[in-house]
Amino acid sequence: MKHVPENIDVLVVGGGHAGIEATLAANRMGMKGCLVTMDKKAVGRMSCNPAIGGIAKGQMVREIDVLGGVMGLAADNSGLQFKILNRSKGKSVWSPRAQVDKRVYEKYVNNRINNTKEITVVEGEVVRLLLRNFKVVGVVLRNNVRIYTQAVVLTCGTFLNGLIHIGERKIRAGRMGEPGAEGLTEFLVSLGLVSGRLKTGTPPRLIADSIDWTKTTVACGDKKPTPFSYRTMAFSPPDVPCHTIKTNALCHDIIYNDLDRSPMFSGDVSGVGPRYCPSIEDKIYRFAHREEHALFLEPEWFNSKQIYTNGFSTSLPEKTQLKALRAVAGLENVEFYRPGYAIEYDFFPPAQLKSSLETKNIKGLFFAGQINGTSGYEEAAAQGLVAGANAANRIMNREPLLFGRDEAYIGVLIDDLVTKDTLEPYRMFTSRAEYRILIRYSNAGDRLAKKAFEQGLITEKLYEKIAGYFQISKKTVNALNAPLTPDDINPLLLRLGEKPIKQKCSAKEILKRPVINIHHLPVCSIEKNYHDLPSYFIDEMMMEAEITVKYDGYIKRHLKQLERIQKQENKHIPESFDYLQVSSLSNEAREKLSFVRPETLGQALRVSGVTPADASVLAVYLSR
Amino acid sequence: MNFDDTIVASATPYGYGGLAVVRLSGGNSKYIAQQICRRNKSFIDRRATVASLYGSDSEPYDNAVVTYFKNPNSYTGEDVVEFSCHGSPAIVEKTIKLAINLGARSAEPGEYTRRAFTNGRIDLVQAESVAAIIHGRGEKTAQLNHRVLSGELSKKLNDIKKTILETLSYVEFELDISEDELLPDTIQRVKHNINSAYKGMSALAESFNEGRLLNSGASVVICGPPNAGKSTLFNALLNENKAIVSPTPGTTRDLLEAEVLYDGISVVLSDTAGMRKPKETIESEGVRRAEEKLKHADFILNVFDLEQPVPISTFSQNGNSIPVLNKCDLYDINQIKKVKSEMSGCICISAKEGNGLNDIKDSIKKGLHISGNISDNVFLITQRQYDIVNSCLRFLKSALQLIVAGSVSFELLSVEIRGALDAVDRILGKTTSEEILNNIFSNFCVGK
Ligand SMILES: Nc1nc2c(ncn2[C@@H]2O[C@H](COP(=O)(O)OP(=O)(O)OP(=O)(O)O)[C@@H](O)[C@H]2O)c(=O)[nH]1
Ligand SMILES: [Mg+2]
Repeated sequence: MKHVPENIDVLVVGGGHAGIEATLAANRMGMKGCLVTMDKKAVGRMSCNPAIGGIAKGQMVREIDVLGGVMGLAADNSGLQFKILNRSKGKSVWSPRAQVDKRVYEKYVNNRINNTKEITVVEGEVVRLLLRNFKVVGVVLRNNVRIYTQAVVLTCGTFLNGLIHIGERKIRAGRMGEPGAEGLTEFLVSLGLVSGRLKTGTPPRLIADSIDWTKTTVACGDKKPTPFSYRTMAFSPPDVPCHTIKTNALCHDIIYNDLDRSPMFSGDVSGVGPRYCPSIEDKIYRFAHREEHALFLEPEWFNSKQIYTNGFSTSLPEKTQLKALRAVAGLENVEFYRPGYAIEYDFFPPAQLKSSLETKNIKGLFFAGQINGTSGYEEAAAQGLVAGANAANRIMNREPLLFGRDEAYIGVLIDDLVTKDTLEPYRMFTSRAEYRILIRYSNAGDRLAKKAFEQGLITEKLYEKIAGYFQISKKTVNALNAPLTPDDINPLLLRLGEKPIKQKCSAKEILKRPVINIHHLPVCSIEKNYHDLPSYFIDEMMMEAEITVKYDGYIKRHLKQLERIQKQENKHIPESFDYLQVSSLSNEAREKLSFVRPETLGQALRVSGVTPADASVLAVYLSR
Repeated sequence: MNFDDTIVASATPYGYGGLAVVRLSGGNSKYIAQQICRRNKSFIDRRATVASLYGSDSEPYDNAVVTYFKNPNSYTGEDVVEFSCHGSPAIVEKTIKLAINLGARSAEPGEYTRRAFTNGRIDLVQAESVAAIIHGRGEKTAQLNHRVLSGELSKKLNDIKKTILETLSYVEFELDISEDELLPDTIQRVKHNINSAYKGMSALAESFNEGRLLNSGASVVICGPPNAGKSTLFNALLNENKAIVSPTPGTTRDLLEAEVLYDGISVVLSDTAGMRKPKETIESEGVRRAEEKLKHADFILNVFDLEQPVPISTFSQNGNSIPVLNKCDLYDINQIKKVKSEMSGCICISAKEGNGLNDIKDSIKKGLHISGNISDNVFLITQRQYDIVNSCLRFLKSALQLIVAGSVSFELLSVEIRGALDAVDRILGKTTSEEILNNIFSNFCVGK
């Protein structure tokens, strides 16, 4: 290498979603950064599905955006179709999702990295770290080049000892067509870190012209699309349709007969596969009673001839994949660009991390993304951002950036990671967030902008802009206190088949009735003062106002609950606490807690295998 | 409380007796026992072994049967050693002192059971039954609490919990699955499940009346005008001259209580001051206490005689009371018939002669609604359980209301169901959201 970068503050290994957000976050906080990737051209690559967001993930994309991340903006600028999922359910669990053009997305992110000052991109493979007194001081590349730095964020994705399975075929690789990384796992293990194996799958890519599109069902996006980013001011994405088809009994039979040829079933994959986006062979084996499964045919980019078969991830032999798909109406003559495959890779059980995502054993070493056993772009990006910011905080000797479970999905994600056993790739779900009514995609700005600004992750200007949006919802809620007379509102109530009111009543009270929405009420003319803002933000803020009023009782209940547990939640456990000494803890708890070493009593309680009885024993110990 | 040391205490009451049991629990139990018995060989798990107990002298001070229970299969879940020694306080004290010198500590009240709970040997409901068993009187009560200790109530609660958890998994699934894969009958299933949990919980709530009566004893209060013969009846029912009886009205001023067992059910009888406008302060305090007692009574005997032929009608918290015409030995049959016809359910007795007492006992038993059918039912036995069951019922009710209200907000439904689940857990144990997830995904197929 001609030029070795010097005076690096934060060095990020890996150019996926985690690596990018980590690099950019540290950069926003004033750090000089270096991104080491095995392939410069692959930075920001979407290696799996051509979509950003989705249930519970869309909320995280919003959170990432408020924290100044790039994911939301990149999706807004590359989106082919935008849709709020869960519309048929309560508004607090609505989740934005976008079908995106992978190429545009990748380019957007790449430009962002390349055009940011103080970020150097280096092509190379990190094989070990340089340490001094259990603190990271640099990395060594395969070609023996040393780069010195103050902190390292490892975001190696599926590259660590990656092994691809297609039927009985095995290929050593990090992703299809890209070599894997070898040696780093072994080095980390030699430092005392514990590693494990996980498996994830990806579906086949189909040739568009080989599909009979007339036999598919068209699925369009929202007519009035909403962007992810609070920074997106001009927004008119195309509404490129997706198509759905359904599997059938014949297709299932073909898969079933070849189950033993899938590494999942022949026991070839020692890693545990994800339960949440199971492979098609998994689905067919485990849900034998279901007669069909929905498959989504998604374009990988605009006018793409390459189609992603969402719902059909598999590691069956290529021939079986093809035969099974050809049994499906619309795919009779389908051809592959590339078959589906499973990849097995090393990860490090994240209980070895603090909530800051720094390893407990080695100062200045942070992990983010699939190396922590997660799956999904959004999960990776969220961790990358937090790890990057905390690498910066570590260097500046500041308190780490942390999020509560009641504050952000990112908080739920990290808390789950550092306390729970990872037996399979971790994916975010709304059901993981017990306070999901408090953490809506539509209030992400209100929840996090201040914190983001104080951290130095966003500018004051952006903070004020976001806070400005929320003024609309807050003013509207205030205006709803105004009383309505029976004359004002009864005509509407009668029209809706509602009970009329007899005396004056606040608009708020009326809004609490299930059939009433905010646009029924006269006060919402407040939005007229904000005609310079994009209509999608105004609409969103009106919706926020409505949620605040309608869910008031539930929101208050959650807040009360939080208040109750706060003391225990935040009770600090000394890092050196010796659980083995506490013989009255159950054996399992003692073992788990010694491994996890939770930072607070609240975390300890959530460690799998710890019972309330164990927690009360601990509480007693800690109050001594 | 500190849980990681070894504790020691006498398991039998203080005093002289045939046997006394000293119990050790904790990691050092076996070591301590071996020291006291001067044994090099280890005790065998669950085998009663005769051994001599030694202090500092070379002469043993007692011979005992020593039983070692290896963890986790012991009462507390820890290593336990029990010494059955001769029932002398001196021997018990000596043994305890030796154990303490060897590093044990005196157990605090309830600590063995607390440890059993902490170590997951029993749940909270079972722990509560242990206390109830020890304090309970009467065979029925013992049977009832035994059923709770052996896990019948826990099982019932766990069944209901399973139903609720399953419901929650439907609801959560609904939230986490894409609209294309929604199951059409979710609402029906949710409603069905919540209704069934509600029914189960309601039955438990209702069972508390009996559980409580059996455990704390039923409070039966004798009340009525002065000189009606209340104290005489009290004594007759007790078969003991406990209360002072005299022809002077206003004899009884204080509240008198005594326990009797009817068919294995403990009944606490109270004799009260005669109800009248009191002339002096002591008596008025007596009347106040009587009134207080009446408020919490489970059954009331409104005693009267023909001096003042209308009984004071008071009612218990459940509306349970009967009129009792006393001194029937003084009246002719027609007078009695007249009263009987005018007052339905009136029981005619002579407390002095002991006539009609069985009628009173029968009507008390009937009035308390004790089925006596312990073997097929489970009962709540503590107020704590009852209160939480009620809070669970409130959550389930709100959930049902959300469903009835039409367009169902699943995330709100989930809050109510989680509330209900948390209530059951507060009675028993805990659930994590991982548990919920496992439940969801072991039953369903999820698309990406
Ligand atoms: N003949 C007859 N006399 C009775 C009977 N029961 C009670 N007496 C008499 O009635 C008088 C009052 O009896 P108590 O039992 O003291 O009456 P009480 O209701 O407790 O009176 P206070 O405590 O003063 O309110 C006594 O002289 C009793 O002997 C009965 O069944 N027959
Ligand atoms: Mg008396």
